[in-house]
Amino acid sequence: MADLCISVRNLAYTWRGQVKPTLDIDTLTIHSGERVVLRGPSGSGKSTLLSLLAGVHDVQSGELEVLGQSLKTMSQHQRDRYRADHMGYIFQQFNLLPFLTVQQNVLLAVEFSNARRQRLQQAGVSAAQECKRLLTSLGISSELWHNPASELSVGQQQRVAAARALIGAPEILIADEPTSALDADARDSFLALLKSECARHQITLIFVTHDGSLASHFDRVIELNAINRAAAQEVQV
Amino acid sequence: MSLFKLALASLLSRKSNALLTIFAIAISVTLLLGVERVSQETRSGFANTISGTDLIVGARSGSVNLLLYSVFHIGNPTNNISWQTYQHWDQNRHIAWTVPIALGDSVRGFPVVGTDSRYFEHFRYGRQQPLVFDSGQPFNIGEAVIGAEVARRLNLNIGDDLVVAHGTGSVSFHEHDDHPLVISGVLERTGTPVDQAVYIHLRDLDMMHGGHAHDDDAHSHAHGHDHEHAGDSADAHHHSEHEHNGAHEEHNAEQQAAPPIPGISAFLVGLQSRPRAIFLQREFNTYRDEPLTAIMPGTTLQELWRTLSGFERALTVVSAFVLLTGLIGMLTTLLASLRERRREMAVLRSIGAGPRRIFALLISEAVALTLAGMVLGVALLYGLMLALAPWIQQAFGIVISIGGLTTAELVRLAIVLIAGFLISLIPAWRAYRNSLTDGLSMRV
Repeated sequence: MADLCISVRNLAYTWRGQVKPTLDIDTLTIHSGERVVLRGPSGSGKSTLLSLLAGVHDVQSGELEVLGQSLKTMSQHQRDRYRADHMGYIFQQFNLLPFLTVQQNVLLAVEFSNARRQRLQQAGVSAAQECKRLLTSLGISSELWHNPASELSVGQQQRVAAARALIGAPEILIADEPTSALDADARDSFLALLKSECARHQITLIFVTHDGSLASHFDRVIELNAINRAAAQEVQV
Repeated sequence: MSLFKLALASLLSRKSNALLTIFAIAISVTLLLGVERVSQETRSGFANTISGTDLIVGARSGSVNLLLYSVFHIGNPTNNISWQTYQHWDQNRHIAWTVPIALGDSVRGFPVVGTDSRYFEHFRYGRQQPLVFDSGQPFNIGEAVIGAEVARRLNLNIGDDLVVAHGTGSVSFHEHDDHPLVISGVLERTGTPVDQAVYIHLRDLDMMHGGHAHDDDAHSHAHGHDHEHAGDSADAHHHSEHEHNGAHEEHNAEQQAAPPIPGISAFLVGLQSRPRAIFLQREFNTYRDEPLTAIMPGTTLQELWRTLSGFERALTVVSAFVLLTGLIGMLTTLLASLRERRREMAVLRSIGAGPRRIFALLISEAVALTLAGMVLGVALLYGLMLALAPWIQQAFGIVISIGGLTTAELVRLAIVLIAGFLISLIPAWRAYRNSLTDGLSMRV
């Protein structure tokens, strides 16, 4: 069995000003290199789990270990660095800073992370070279590289966002419904590219969606409603 | 890409807002520095208007009023000093020299100063600088000397005719055109009210007002001028003497014996020993034969400046509020932009930017805006100075020297920068809070 990438035990989170927890997970484990779908309707505690995984919010109770390190013991600053170094994140849309060029957007991820820079150095490529390679393999033609990101189509923007998340080979990629704004063709090609890039660098992919038809593309489906005791209670009430 | 470059790129994407903010700050900076500069120049201009004169003596009046009309040619003397009184003091053993001044007339808006050749000998301005002739020489009777600004504005030169008008308005309905003068000299520019004046001989002034000969002349009584005759007995002398005006050089002795004019507006006094000024001032002020006021120009200039400094302070306060308005404008713009920039913040957070980075980003933006506003403001100031300096000099007699930024101005700029920084803490703090609560969720 591969190494543990993410390990959750008794993780509970209550938003400030609320009495009941939004998230209460007994156990959840994801192995390195695994490609999983995280599925759950809105209100299932999905964005809470994601922000905990990304280290944006404190771990209030229980244990959350990522890549063998406990996020609970890290400071806010350490968690920000962990996210910059080890995690790529793709939003549903609006991933890019519209006032920067395509290339600047991708390279921004390297600017924020020493670890990504070092990994590129070890691989013997410059950030600019890797950026070009990723953009090319994700199907962004070179004429667009120096255009402002705002001039791209939604599908192109999502692929540039993938390039930014992948540059410098972070261990984990979280994609939060990245295909929901795409049409079927664009969605399939985007998924294929994402999967092949993740496989190439042994990146653990956590793909969030409520679209059940995508499950076949992945190793495993995690139904959040099933593991989140807080969500289950709410449904029953 | 550094944080600052990122902030700049983000600002550039919101160009119109950024430009308006910069412009608002620039205008307030221009005002703030402009007020400082103008008052600075005014102050030094004030201090430079007269020097080397120990006392100024006029008829009994307020000291500031006396200073204003005798030196700045603003306002009118309330009363005259008789020639006899002037002569009496001229003979005083403590007094080294005196210069008589008679005011009241003008040449197309420029004041006419009736005096004699001693004016050019003793008058000092700035750092004890004497008056220098750009061309020509002091006047004789029938001639006039003009200040540099008068020459420039009225396009007059040596040998030109000059018609003096009665009163001090720029439009006069009564010109002394029966008595034209010839310009004998043009003074070099001094940057003081001297540039704006026309100098003629006391005797010519008197003649224009009919004092010398035409007692029967209707208008000499009609205009009821300041230069009232001190005594009718003087008229007889005038009369006989000025019949032969054309040949006045032969009558020098006679001219000196007879008073050139019955009364003068004021006279400047230079003392044998400076420290005596305070005693002599007392003597003047307590002179029994005629009520007099004597002032020490330096002291009264300061007094005048103190009365004006309230105005200066008011201007500074107003420009400080303009600055505050500009900065609040920036605050509003930045706060409003935070709403539309939540996506931008979430993206930055997702690639590892901590709340502190977001905080610093907002500060950088505000500082960049403030700096740009300051640079533009200083540029505007210099542009305005270059454009308006000639006009300010003409209108107010204040010479604006276009030098580098003074310490006081740099202090004000530093205050602007610090204020901009402090104001930026508000949106930065707001963004910091937002980034903590929003995290990676994109609330739009």
